Amino acid sequence: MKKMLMLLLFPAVLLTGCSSRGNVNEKAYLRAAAVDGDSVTFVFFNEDEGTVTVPLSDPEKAKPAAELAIGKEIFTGHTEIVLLGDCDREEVLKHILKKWRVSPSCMAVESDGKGEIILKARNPKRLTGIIEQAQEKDLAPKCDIITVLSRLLDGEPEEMPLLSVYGLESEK
Amino acid sequence: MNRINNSQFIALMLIGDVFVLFCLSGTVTAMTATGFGLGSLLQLIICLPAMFSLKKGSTLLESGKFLQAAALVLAVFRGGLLFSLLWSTSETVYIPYEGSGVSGKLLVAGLIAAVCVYISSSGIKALARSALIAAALGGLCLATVVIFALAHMDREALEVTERQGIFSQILRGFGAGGSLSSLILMLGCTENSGSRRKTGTVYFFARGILSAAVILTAVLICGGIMEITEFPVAMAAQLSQPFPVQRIDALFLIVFSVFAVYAVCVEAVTADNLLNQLIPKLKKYRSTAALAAMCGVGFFFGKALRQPWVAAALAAALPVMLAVRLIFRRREVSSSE
Repeated sequence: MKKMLMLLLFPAVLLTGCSSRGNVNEKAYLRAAAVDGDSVTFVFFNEDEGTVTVPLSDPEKAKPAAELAIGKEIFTGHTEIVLLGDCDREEVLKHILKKWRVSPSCMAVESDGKGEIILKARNPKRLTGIIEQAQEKDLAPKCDIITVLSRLLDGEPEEMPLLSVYGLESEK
Repeated sequence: MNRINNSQFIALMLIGDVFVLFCLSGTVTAMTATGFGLGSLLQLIICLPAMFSLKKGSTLLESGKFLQAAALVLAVFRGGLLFSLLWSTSETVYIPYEGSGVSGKLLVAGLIAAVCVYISSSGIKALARSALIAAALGGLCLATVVIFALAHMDREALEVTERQGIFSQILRGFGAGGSLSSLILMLGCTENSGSRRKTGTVYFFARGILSAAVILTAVLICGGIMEITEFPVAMAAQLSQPFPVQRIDALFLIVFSVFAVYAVCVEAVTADNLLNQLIPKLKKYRSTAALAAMCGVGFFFGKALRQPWVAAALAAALPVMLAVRLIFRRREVSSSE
């Protein structure tokens, strides 16, 4: 009986994700995203994948559309920064946290104008670097997704760094 | 009957309790941590008569058929509750695409059940030996989460009051640690009968402290987003990031799966031993039958079993029966004198 059970369990190793479905090259790793009122922009770690802008306001629908556009599954767990434009910020952040499963250190910032333009003009690495430097100098508030979402859920005033194509802006 | 040492016993029981904590749903506050601690204390008090009987050498496997049958039923219901918790939590714990959707969840539950059949058929000793290693792995994961929580804690979250009151949290804590059939059976398998009461007491205190620590950690990490968090302990583990470029999702997934297997195996081994006493002619497929019954109970009654008062009633049933039996026996002895 034990031998039969072992024979049945052995094929379970095929379910460990070691098949080609989990091949690193077959996924696009999201680095930054911008959610504007009428579009969602995706920027990936691999620069060859370019910047993809999808004309949909809902991130839930935008991700599958972006996957169709680039021909790869998008992995969102390493997203470093999210730019929030004219959108329902609380709902967008809830979705990103629960469905995209981003890292707790993912930054949530406000975009001055369309986030798509900022992401096309500036490298996400530079944007995160600007925020980190500003935080070290006490020029920008803490803006990890958990902190920002906590403030929104508590009904506190929004307190996010404001980014434009020129860099960090003073509060509006 | 296989013998296990005190450390193995405590590790086995705590693994099951921590798995239930991983699957804890709903809002948690600092009061919940207090409630769980007090719930453990209450369970210790109601288990004292059973532990006194064990000290005198009378184990569950030497008790009457009625008590054994009751313990078997309770173990099956407890196993059903564990499968139900696994089913509901597996969507939140990030299992790769194989685990998504109904078919995925069935596959995960089926695999865990198959592994449990294999392990439980090997007996208590094999299960207990490996429990220490599994407990150490879980301890490492927990320590990482606690350190992260202390480094990034949101102190304001500790001030949030519980709307439902302390009694509901005590009930929740009491029901969460409900594997008392297994506890009484496993305690009867420990090597030194003279120290069983002490071992049991140590276990309950350890469980109270561990539950409070885990829940407080979840409050500190998820406090600000508690209202949108369905499974706070699982979410706290997933949000922990000990290093800027390293999360512990993968470690948590391994610990979750391993603890699920052990938690169910403890009930399966309990049911296997009780079936052996009740139906000696049933030599083969005892574990399989017990696990199948647990899956069925979990499928049909899972939602009801997750209600705190139902879980608490099932947890209290066997110790209360043992206490009543002890009282009647003492009366018989004193009246015969």
